[in-house]
Amino acid sequence: MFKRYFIPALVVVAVAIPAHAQRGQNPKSNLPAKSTPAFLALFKPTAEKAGKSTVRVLVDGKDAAFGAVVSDDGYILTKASEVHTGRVSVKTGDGRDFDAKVTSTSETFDLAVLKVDGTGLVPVEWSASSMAPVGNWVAIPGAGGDPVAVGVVSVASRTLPPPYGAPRIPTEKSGFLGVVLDLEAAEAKIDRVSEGSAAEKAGIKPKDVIVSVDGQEIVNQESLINTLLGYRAGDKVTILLEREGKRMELTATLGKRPADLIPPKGKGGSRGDFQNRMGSDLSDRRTGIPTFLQTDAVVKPTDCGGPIVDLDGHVIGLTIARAGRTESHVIPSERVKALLPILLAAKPDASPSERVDAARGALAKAEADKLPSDVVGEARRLLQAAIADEKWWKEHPLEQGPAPREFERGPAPRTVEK
Amino acid sequence: MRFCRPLALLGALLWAGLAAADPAAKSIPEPPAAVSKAAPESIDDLKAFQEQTRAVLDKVIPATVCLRVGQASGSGVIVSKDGLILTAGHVSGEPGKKIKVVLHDGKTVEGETLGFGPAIDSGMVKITGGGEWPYVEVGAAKDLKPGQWVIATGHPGGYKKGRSPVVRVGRVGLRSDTVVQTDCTLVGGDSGGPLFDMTGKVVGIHSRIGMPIVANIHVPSDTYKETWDDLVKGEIVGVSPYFGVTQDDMAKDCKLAAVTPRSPAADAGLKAGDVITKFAGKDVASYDDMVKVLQAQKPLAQVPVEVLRGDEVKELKVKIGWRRK
Repeated sequence: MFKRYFIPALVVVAVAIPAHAQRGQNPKSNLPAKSTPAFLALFKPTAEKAGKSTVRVLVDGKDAAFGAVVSDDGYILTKASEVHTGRVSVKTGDGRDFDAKVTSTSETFDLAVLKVDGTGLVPVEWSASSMAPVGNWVAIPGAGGDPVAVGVVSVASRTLPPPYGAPRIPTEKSGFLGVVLDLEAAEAKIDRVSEGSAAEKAGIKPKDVIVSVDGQEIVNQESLINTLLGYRAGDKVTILLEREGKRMELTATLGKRPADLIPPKGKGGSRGDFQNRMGSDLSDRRTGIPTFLQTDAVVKPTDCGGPIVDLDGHVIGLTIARAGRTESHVIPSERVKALLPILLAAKPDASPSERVDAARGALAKAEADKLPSDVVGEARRLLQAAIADEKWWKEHPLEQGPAPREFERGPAPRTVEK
Repeated sequence: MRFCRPLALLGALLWAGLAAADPAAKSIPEPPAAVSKAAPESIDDLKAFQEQTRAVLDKVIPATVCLRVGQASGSGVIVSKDGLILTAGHVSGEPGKKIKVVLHDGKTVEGETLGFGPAIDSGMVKITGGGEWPYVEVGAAKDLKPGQWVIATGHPGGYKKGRSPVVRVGRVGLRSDTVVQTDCTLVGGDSGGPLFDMTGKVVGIHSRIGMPIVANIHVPSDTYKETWDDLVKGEIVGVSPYFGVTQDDMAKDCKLAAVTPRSPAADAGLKAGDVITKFAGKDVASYDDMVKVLQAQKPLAQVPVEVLRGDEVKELKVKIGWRRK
């Protein structure tokens, strides 16, 4: 249906690197200058303070992420997708170990709140992300303060067009509209309509520009693709489009995706992705963060989730993903600070209905404070999730223990233990 | 010409904007001592370093562009007021093609591919339609020392709306006459983007990567300087002219034993058994004669070839091809 958005024009070759840089011979010489121990040590004075607020997050005893302490009574922010399964624990820089519970999750921003039974933890002091403009050095402190990765700010904070969240991967069940987009156009402009497709039956024509799908604004081609991948074959969608300067609304019943347009399970093997995987491990969840800034620090996926500082030790944000060969992503402090009250609204032991009330209050406050739309959107989504949770509990009165986390609540209910 | 008016207006606005803050007029300070240290030694050194980086970026970001040929996307850097762009050979490809130039702020202007060097992977593009553009100076890659700090910009993954050219900082590992290797990480879409020294001069053009994170290869800027005039003229540099025929060893004249399929000779309609009598206007009595004349031709030049096929004299036109030296 859709042509690739672009074909990056960079040739990969087997480069003849002389002996001192050959792979496997001396792993240290394969380190970028910025990752050598001596260079990292240079940043110690600047990373020390934030390092006291950085903890190691483990899943089943293995390093999973870093965490940023956000309160002295044991709330910690971390990268949600790294703590989805298994027993979560936390190790502080001063060597204390705690069991941790996930108390709330922002799936969109890939943030999870952990709670540990501890006192005397040192919360992060967040600073404006603009303190580190493009070109400035940034450092990622480990638990306790030793820097684990450094780099420069590559791109300032920006907000992507919706939809947000984890990438949607085409499957046999995905709905299919059947259009080819005009790659020369910035907006979602139709180049061709496939014969017999849902688009043709709905009356979509070449040169139409799709403006929204079921009320979801479509700002560019990627946003159309991601939005449509949220539907299944057979779903009806209302498409608002612009034709010769006039707006009109059409209804399409999405068809089945042709088998040759479904990527094989597991890896999506586009060339861009292959190149991005060259030379470093990437985070599993690395796209769909609504607002982020970029750095060229080569950070391990298991070293994401904690604070990142500038040369004055200001915490400018939270490292959220190793996103590609050239980029690591950071949620700027401003967004973290705006999200915290929403994520901390409900007490960990709150009942489902108390959670709904808390989420409703957090949304009202976010709207009243005129917070950015990606934050308000997440507050709204969390309220919907809390309402769905409450409903689930009403339908499963025999359930014991904590509420199932959102991602666990599949179509099939959990087995009831008796 | 219904676009004339708005374009003229735009041109005037652009010019006014440039006059007010001409990035080319901006001067980058001499790098502080900290920048030339093998490794910065303190936070103060790092601060001096980042200040210099920002001064360089102020000037070089506006000159960093994305180049689009059909669906393919690469990068480039403007190096003259009238819009000459250096890029990688595999981004611009053959001369005379239309290309879209996406400026650092997302504005798109038309361009045309000029010459390229397929062996070393150099390429040149020109913004067409006039105007003045923010540009950077071209420096000397041969002066780069291993360990020297450099800055890379470009459009990894292709141009992304709302994202300014992406900055990376790293060090030179190796340098030769044909490649510069750094640990400034590159990925698809960066191709053709510029590598700068700490004074903001272009010292390399991103070309290719290897598996290790430090294997990022740039075309040395010197090759562009050495072949500048030929590139501007739209010539293919650093290659041999190519025809695609095999000699009939038994013949004394220029009789062909075979014609390579899909070669310039085959495209021109030459066949095995043909005897070449004239090549590019010159009489040829033997195969060696023909080769001599061929070596003097420029790749992509259209030349006449006269052949004897049986009793028939045929006048054919051949577009000279090229191959790596």
